[in-house]
Amino acid sequence: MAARRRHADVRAEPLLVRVLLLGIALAFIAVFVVLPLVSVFVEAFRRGIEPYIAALIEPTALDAIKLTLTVAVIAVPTNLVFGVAAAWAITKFEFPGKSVLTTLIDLPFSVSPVIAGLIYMLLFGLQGWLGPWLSEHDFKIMFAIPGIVLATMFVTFPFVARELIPLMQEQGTDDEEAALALGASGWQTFRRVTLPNIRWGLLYGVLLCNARAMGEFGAVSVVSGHIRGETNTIPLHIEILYNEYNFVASFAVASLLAFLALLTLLGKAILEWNTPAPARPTSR
Amino acid sequence: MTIELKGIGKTFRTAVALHDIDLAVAKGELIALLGPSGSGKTTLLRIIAGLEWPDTGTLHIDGEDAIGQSVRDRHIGFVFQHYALFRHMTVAENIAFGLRVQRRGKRPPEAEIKARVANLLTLVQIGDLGARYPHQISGGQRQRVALARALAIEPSLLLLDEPFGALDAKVRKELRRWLRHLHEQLGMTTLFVTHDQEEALELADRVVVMGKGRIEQIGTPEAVYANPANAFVYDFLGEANRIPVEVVAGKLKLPGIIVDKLDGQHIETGKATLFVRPHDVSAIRAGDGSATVRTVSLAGPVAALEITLTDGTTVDVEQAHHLHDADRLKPGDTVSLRFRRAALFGV
Repeated sequence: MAARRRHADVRAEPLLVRVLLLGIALAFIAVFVVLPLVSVFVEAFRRGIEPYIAALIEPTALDAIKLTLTVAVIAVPTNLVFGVAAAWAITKFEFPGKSVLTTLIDLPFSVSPVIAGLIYMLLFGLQGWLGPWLSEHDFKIMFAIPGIVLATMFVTFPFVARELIPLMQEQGTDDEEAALALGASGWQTFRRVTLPNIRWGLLYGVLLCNARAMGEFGAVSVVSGHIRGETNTIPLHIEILYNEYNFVASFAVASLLAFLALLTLLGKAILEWNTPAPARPTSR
Repeated sequence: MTIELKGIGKTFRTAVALHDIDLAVAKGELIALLGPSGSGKTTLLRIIAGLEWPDTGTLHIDGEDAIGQSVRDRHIGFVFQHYALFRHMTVAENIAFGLRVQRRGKRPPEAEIKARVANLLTLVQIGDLGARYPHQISGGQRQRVALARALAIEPSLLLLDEPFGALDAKVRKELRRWLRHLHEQLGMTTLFVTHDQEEALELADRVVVMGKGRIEQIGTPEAVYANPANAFVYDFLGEANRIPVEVVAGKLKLPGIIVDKLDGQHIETGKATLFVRPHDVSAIRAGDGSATVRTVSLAGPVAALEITLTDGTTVDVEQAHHLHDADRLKPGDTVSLRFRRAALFGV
């Protein structure tokens, strides 16, 4: 009897420890994650539903939403293609400088977004290296949509590649070699074998990439110039409203981004639920 | 389909994988590439398939230079060690893959593809599994699917990388017999890679023994087993006792041991190693014998004895039970040894 009890004790911590651990974890999540999220929605609806909707359909807000969607529509597919190409190159081929490329892909994660914005400023700004030439030929990059797209692409570049590299490394090259040996062309191999093998990881990477592309603040803030109705994305619009003490409007627009984050999480949960264990995307 | 390799060499960044390989395979042969891991056997197979390129040498398939051809153009059936089945396709879709990716003009109509897949499923004896996914079937069944998929493109050359490596012993034996029958039925030239000597000796028409990137010996299973060309092959094929000996003026110095037949190198003088198979050793009870019985194990098809020589070398001996029963050797008994057949190689 005594032996049996000790056996049970090994597997189950004392009640006190369990309650304490669970309590700490729940309290932490409540204070740092749930509370801010709830407060966004509470603040947004403080004066009821009408001011909330008014804040969203106001012309500058609509312009910001439109711009953010435009940026995402350009940046996400571009990074999808580049991410797949980079992951493909790194995992399926041997070439000199491979480790350098792998490290470079991580660069946007390790560099502060503000620095990323400043790099583009140095390159394309009026005082920058290419700025004078660009303004002579009437190309507008800084304080315009191209600059915002570039900065967003830089910041969101790693998401797709980072998601795919471990997955493709684990899957190896056997499937591709088998397809080629059976007479498939390079494109057929990619389309019929590689793509189906990585589809869930790819989708997850795109979801994360999209969430960040829409939510990016630092880099975009540097290159945008904050021209209302022209170069304001959703996050920049929120900041301006907040600085003008227009709390309801700012939280109303912020709730859009929060809603997007929740959708991303939901998408992720569905993906993980749908994916067989070995091919499941790694959680970040 | 014939294969001819001449002077094939391959170096990976760190090590020489293949060194000056010459090999000719006749039409319809079943060849085993046998060697320990790192012997270069898989690299050689992949070079023939077109999945790897040699640094030097020539490769002719059916008399045609194949080095310039991609894996796609060589039209060779290749079965991967871990099968490499497409996990998102059903068994039937996997088998049909090689037909469905053919160019529009060459691609058979869908009805014919269906019929050929059905035929292949019957041929590999998994007729009712077509609608399953690879993760829903057993290892042996996956192996059959991989084989059917490779056969679908009607290759005249079939290459298999460790075809039974990932299977348990019983399934392995059964599949091996079946593959031999299939080979005879289809008449294809077949090469397979294995590290299992039993598999190579049982299955192949000829065995290519490889070690450290070189071909050590080529021959029929009987020939390589009975007459190993060197110490490596002797050691690798079957059980072998290694006894360090000294040769003086062409004569073996081995007190108290009679050697009936001696193969291998002729060594005039110096140190050498004598190889003898456990079943070629007889232990005879002798009061003045120079060897001592250490252990006797009677479980199994033969009586296994461990015998120590005066210099401490251990010799494994296998005797038929009825011979052992006549003598009943026990641990501690002194015996004299007779090697019915042994081979001498330089150290």
